[in-house]
Amino acid sequence: MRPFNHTNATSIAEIKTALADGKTTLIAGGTDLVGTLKDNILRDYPSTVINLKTVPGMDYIKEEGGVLKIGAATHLADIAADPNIQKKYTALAQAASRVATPHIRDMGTIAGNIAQLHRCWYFRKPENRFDCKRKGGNTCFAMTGDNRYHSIFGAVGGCIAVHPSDTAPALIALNAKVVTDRRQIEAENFFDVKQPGNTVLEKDEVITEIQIPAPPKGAKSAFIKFALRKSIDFPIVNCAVMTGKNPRVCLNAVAPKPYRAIKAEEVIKGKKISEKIAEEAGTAAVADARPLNATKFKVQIARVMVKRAILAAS
Amino acid sequence: MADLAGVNGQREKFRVVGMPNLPGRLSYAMAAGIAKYGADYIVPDMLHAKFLRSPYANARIESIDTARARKIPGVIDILTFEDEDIKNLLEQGEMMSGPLKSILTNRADQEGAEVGAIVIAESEDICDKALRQLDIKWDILPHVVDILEGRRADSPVIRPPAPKSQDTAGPFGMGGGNNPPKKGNVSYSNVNAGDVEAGFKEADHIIEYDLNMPAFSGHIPNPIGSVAWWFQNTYHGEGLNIHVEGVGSPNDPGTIANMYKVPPEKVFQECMLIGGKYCDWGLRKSQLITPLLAKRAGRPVRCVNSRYDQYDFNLNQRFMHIKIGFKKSGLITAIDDFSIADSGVEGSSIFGTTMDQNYGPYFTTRCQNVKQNMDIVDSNRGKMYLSGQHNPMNWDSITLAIHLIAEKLGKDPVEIARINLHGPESQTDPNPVPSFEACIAAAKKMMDWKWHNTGGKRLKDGRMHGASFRYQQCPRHSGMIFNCKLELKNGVVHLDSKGPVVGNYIMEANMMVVAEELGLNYEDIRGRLDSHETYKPWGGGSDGTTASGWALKECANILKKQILEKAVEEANTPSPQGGVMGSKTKPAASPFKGMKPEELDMVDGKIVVKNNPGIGVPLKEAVRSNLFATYSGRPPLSLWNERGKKLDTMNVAMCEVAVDAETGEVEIIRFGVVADTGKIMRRTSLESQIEQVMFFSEGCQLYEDYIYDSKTGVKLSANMFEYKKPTILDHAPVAMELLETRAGNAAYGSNGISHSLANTHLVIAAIYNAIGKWVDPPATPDKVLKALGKA
Repeated sequence: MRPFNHTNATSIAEIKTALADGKTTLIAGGTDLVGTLKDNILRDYPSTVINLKTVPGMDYIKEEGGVLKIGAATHLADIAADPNIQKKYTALAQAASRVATPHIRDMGTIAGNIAQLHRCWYFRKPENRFDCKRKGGNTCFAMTGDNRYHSIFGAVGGCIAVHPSDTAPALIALNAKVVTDRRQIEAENFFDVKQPGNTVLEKDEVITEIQIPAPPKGAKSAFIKFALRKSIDFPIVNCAVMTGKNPRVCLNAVAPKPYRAIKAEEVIKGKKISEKIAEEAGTAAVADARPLNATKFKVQIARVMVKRAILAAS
Repeated sequence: MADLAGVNGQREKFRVVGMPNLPGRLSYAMAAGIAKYGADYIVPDMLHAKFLRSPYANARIESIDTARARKIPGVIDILTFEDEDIKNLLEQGEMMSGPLKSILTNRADQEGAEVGAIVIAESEDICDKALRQLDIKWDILPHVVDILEGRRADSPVIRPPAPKSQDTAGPFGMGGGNNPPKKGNVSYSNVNAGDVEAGFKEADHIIEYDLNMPAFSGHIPNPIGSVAWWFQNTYHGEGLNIHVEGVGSPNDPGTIANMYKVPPEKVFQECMLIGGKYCDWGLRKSQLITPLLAKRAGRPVRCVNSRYDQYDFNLNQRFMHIKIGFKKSGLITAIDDFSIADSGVEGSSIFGTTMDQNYGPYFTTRCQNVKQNMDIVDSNRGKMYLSGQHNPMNWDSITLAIHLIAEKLGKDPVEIARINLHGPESQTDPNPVPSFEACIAAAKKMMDWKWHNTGGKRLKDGRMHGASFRYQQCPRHSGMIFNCKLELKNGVVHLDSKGPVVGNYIMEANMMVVAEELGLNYEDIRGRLDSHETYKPWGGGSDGTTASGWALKECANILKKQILEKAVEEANTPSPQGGVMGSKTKPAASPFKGMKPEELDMVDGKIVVKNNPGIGVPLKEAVRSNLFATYSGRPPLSLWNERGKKLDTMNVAMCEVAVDAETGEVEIIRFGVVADTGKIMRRTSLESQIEQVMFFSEGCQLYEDYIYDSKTGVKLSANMFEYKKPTILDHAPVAMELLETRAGNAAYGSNGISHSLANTHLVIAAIYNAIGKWVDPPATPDKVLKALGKA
């Protein structure tokens, strides 16, 4: 790993000031960042890494005024184990429990999980071996290379890498908001395709909290993940669903951003969930898929994940 | 066969050998993280070194300008391929054979290969920085990472002329004669036995099938590397001595001594642990170059590979097309095996290619008409240093044949195997193999084996059920001589060994044998590693535990004879007590006074009177002299050396899978293993080795894959996320039963287990039984769904 300065922040203001120089990067759990630094995958290397975890009061789970509030630095393991989240915001607890490994869940944070960089073996090859579109280059190497785990819903900005977060679709399905030091962003609108980021955050903007409204009465939620290894892998496809009057269905690892399956939501809206309805919703969810040759299997898996998640939430 | 040649080979009662969970000091050190490996050595004033590694799959460096890099503070030295010291430092070109060649050249034949330069600096970070500042003029050459493409006549030839010969005998014998000359990237090896055409004419049915054996990474867990420094000490004679940690080669300190032209006794190593490696005895450049760098720098130098640098092959890729003729009974009459195998980069071993042609499974059958043609394709995929757990690597071709014949005839594959397996003595021996029959009976009971036809069973949750079965020999396969030494020092028995310890517990198993033979407890034996000792406990494959155990059994009994003789001698002539002035207290009279050594025995840590074991004296008191015994030898050669044409100890593996036809997900419900290793030496090791091989089998059949970018030849899956080795949380349950027929001819009738249970198609055959489609390993969901017509 190349040398850098490490600063333990004591306030969000201090972090904002540090980030403004464009040479500082933020660390919380560090489970994604450390890998990118060790492997030197990006064009630029930070001169300073500033630590969010030392800012007081960033790690909490509480319910206030019918809203679940989770501090940005709250560990995924704590979210997965919280009885209230398991009961009322089930999809989020399930998603947090399926992130990576127990050790990573103990270190990784909710903010880090949604703000992590995308997974693409070209993007992630050490020493910036492939200077791809997401790094400011001219080529998406995956487009003509091995893209078996890439997008089935086309490219964004010429990139077909997928967003790998497990908690992101759960937050979108649960209608969550991402709170930063300067605004509230609907989770659905939080994700973007940048060079090299995955969010709409400004370079000196800091996530401070996640807020999730209590699910409507009678609504249930569920999260399902399909991965090669059960113990550690990023999803090939995952899916979160919240049923109820205004159902929400969100897939991830199928596109450069989490993919809200509006057509699937329309199928189940106002209907009693059955195997047949769930299957129709699965088919609707992938109606707009444009898979590459190597990713056709992901369409089938996405279809099934939607079906099974709907049934699990019914 | 049995251990008829060795002393106590027919022993009936065991107190120590075969016991589980004996607390070994060495194994405790390894399991507890106390043990130090090469990368763990940090010494004062130490420098670091890093190789330049090729970003290209096939390239040549035309020139390197080091000027900018040398200006970086902390850079001590940069050696390039043009440096005379580098040119003159020669390493073995091919594992165990092949010409010597310079340790670093300007040619890179795979992405990540050490090439062109090595930097010595005050830290690894500075090394990295300096490597980035090298001005390198590359000549990027065409590459081959798809061996089917590389085999084509119009494929660019990737290797300079004068390739390694593929048609001469290698260190283990290989290949056939009269092969066509190499053409392009392809060498040829043809081995024929019997009359294949006649065999096909004799057949009632002929089937043909393809199978793709996947490449597999051993993925060595301990980062490989070394630390070296030179020192002067007149105690060790004139001239400098080398201290090098982390080499741990079977031949060390010989390898380092030869390379650096110093006597072996002037090479010192403390670390004899090199971590888990499966039959990969190849030394990496990072283990060999540090003495040179340390000499140049005048300070200790450490050079360690990163995890990215450790994706060498433990199994190379092979495409096979098999044609089998068989009778209505299921008896195979002819086998025609055409293979296209990956030769890997230059210097790769012949295991997995020509070696397998003489080493494979076909000769365990009654069929004597076997034709094997192999095209061996040079590639830029990677290097196979020696062998892998899966060896012999074409065993799965016969496994699939058995399943396909069974399907064709509507029979249980176990019965097809039974029909085809020849008897113990030869391919024409009509008798059953007792070990095989015992394994089958136990396995069927353990797994509640009820065979069903392809697609014939669904589980309650709707998934499709599949099952499969496989047999193999329980082998040992070396003929090396073991030079053992046991010492009785101050009443304690010591076993010293030069190691190395490669993630195994051979020393513990050896100590168990010594304890057994000397009537001692296991913890009474002291094991010590010292690179200047002569005894190395392993011999390739299971010779480590069973054949070296046999030699130590002999040695222990030589020592025992000396101990009993000395007990009588000391009883008859007790030494004066109390120092030079003597003592007023008379020593207690020994009960052995006037007895003969043959009237005594060693039981429970004491020397006792055979006819009256109640009369005994603890060893420490009965013998105050220091004694040592040596033995050089080995047990009779294993039947494995008959390469399948004779059979003694066998094993059977079964597998049950559930296939989710909607997602293509395969779950291994359980493995079942019944292994007859003849005699269990160290039960814990045997159980864990079986777990390990089934873990290997699971990984290569469900998850693990070398994925290359076809345009650049770059490995895309050389990290722990993308190269998907299962974790312990993914590992399927393994039911096992261990048999002891005592049919092997190493210690107490043992053979071994290594190189026998790992496989590439047991799970694949079970998937076939579930869905009726062949899926090449690894059977990832994309392939399963494609086979099912859903992708």
